[in-house]
Amino acid sequence: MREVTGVVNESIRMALSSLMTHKLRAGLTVLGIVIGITTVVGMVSLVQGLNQSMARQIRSMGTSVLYVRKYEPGLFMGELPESLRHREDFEVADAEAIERLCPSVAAAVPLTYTGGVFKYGDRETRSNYAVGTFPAYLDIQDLAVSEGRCFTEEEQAHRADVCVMGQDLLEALFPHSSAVGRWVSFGGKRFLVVGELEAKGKFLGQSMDDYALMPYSTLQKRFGPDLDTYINAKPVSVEDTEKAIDEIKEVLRRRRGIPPNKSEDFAVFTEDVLMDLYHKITGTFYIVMIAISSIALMVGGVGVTNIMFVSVTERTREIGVRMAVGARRKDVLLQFVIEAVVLTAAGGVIGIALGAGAGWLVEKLVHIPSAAPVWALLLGLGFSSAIGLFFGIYPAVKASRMDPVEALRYE
Amino acid sequence: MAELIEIKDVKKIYHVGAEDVHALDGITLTMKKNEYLAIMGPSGSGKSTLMNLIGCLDTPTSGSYRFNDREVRDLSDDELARIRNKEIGFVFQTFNLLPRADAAHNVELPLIYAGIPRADRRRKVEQALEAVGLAERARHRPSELSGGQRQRAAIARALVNEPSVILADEPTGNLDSKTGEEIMQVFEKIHGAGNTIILVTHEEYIARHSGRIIRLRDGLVESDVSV
Repeated sequence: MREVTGVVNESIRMALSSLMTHKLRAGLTVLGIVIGITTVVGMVSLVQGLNQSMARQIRSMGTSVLYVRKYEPGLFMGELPESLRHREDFEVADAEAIERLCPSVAAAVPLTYTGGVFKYGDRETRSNYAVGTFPAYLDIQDLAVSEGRCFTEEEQAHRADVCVMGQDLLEALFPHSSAVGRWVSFGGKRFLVVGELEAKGKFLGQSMDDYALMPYSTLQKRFGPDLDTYINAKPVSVEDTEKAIDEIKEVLRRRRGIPPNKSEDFAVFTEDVLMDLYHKITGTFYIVMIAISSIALMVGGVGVTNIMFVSVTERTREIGVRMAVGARRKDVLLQFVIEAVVLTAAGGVIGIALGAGAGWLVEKLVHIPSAAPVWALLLGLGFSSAIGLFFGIYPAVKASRMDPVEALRYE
Repeated sequence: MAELIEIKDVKKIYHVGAEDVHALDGITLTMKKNEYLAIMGPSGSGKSTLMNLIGCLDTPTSGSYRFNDREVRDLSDDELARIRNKEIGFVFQTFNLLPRADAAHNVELPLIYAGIPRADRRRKVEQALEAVGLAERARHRPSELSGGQRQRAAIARALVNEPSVILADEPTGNLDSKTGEEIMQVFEKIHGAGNTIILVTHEEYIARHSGRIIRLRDGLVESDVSV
C-alpha cells in the first residue's frame, strides 16, 4: 500500500516552490481570481453587516409599528404604476376611526410630511423635514422628549405654531444653548420650539434625528392642503399585531366602501415588509456580485489553464524524470492539479484579505457596518480551489499522458 | 538461478513519416544478477532504445522481454511505473536532477513514489548520499554542485530504492576524464556491494570497467564478450 500523503506533500512542496520562483507570473495569472473573490467577500461582508445592523435597529425600535399606506413599499421602475397612483387618500377621521373601533389597536395617528430648511438667526439647517401628527405619535414610534415637552392635544386642536425638534436640527441651530422657548423659521413660517427629542442615532448611515414634529393641523394649515396623509398605529401588544392588522383592514374597507369580493386599495403592514423589501434589494446585490465575480473567475480560470500548459511544457523533462523514478500517471496528474489548486487558492487568500479589508475600509469611511462571516471566507477559499481543480485538470491530464521516453529527450 | 533479464528476438519499430525505422531488429540476450554489463555501439545502433526497453520506459513492438520472470508487455502503466520505481535505477548523461530541489530531495523522489514513510526516507537518503560520498552536499541544489557531484547525486537517487538493476546511459559523457574516472570508481564500488549494472557508452576505456561488453550495430547484437 502506497503512502499517498507523501506524494501529496511532495506536490504541495513543489507547487509552493514553483509559485515562489514565478511570483510575478503567478500574480498576473490569479488576478482574475483575486478580483472575483474580493468581490464576493467584500459584498458579502457589507450585506451581512447591513443585515446585522438592520436586525439590531429593528429590535431597538422595540414596538411593532403598523403602517397604513396606499400601497406596499416595493421596487418600482421609474414612475408608480397607473393602478396605484389614483388611490384615495387617507384623512384624520380614518385614524380616529381605527383607534376608536379596533380593540387590538392601542393608538393610531395621522401624519404628513413636508421638506424644508430650519433657520434661527443666521444659522440654518441643511435640507430637513417636518412631520405633522398627533402627540400619540411619540408613543407609537417609541420616541421620548429630553427637554421641554411635546405639543399638546389643545395645540393640535388650535393649529398652534409649535414644534418639537430632533437632535440634528438642535445641533445645527442651537449648538450651545437650549432651544426651548425660541422661535425658529421653517418654510418662511415661524414656530415656537416647545421641546427637544431624544437622540435615536443612525440607521444604515442615515440619521433618524433630522426632523421636527409639529401638530398635524398646523402643518396642513401652513403647507397644505395638497400634502398626503398617512396613518401609523400601534397594537395593544406585539402578539396582537396580526389581529390589529385584520381589524384595521376591516374598518378601512367599510370606510372606503370596498365590497367583500374586491381587494383592498390600501395596505397595512409592519417592519417585516420593509425587511422583505430590504432583502429583495440585497438579493439584487448578490446577483450583481455573482455576475461580476463569475466573469472575473472565468477569465482567471482560463488564465490558470493557460499558465498550467506553459508550466507543463516547461517541465516536460521533469515529468520524464519523475516517471523514470517511478511516478505513476496519476501521481503526475495529482501533482499538476495540486499545483493549479495551490495557485488559485493563493489567489483566493489574497482575495479574501482584500475583500475583508475593503469591507473594513467602507465601515471606517462611510460608517456602513461590515462583517465578514467565516462561511464567506471559507466559501472564497473553497471556490478559488474549485476553480484551480476545474481549470487545472486538462493541463494536468496532458502532463500525465506524456511518453516518458519523449519527455526525457525533451530539450 | 533465474535470469534477471531475458530478451528474445525483440524488435522496436518507429514510424517516422511514411518510413519504418527498425531501431531494434531482433535482439536476444540474457543477463544474470550482479553482472556488470556494458552496451556499446555507434549512434543509431539502437543502444538507447534497448536501454529504454530494459528500463521499462518503453515496450517492444514484438518479441519477448521478461524482467524478473515477468513478461513486461503484459504489464499496465502503473505496474511499469512500479518496476521503474522499485527495480530499476536510472543514471543519465545529463544527470536529470530537478533544478529546484536540493540533492537530498532529488534522492528522496523514488522513495516518495514508493510510499515509504518520512522517517525511513530520511535515513535511506542519508545512506545513499553517504555511499556516493556526497553527504556534506545534501542541502545544495544541482546548480551549486559540480558535474561530478551532480552525477553522484543521480547515482544516489538510482541506488536509494535498492533496485535490481542500475541503468547508466553515458554516465561520464558530460564529465571531464578525471571526474569520469571517479564516477566509474563509484560504479565499481556499488557493483562490489552486490548491485547489477548496465552501462551504455561509446568509450572503450569506460566499457572496460565492466565484466561483459555487448556491441550493437544496426539494431542487432554484433558481439557479446565477457572480459
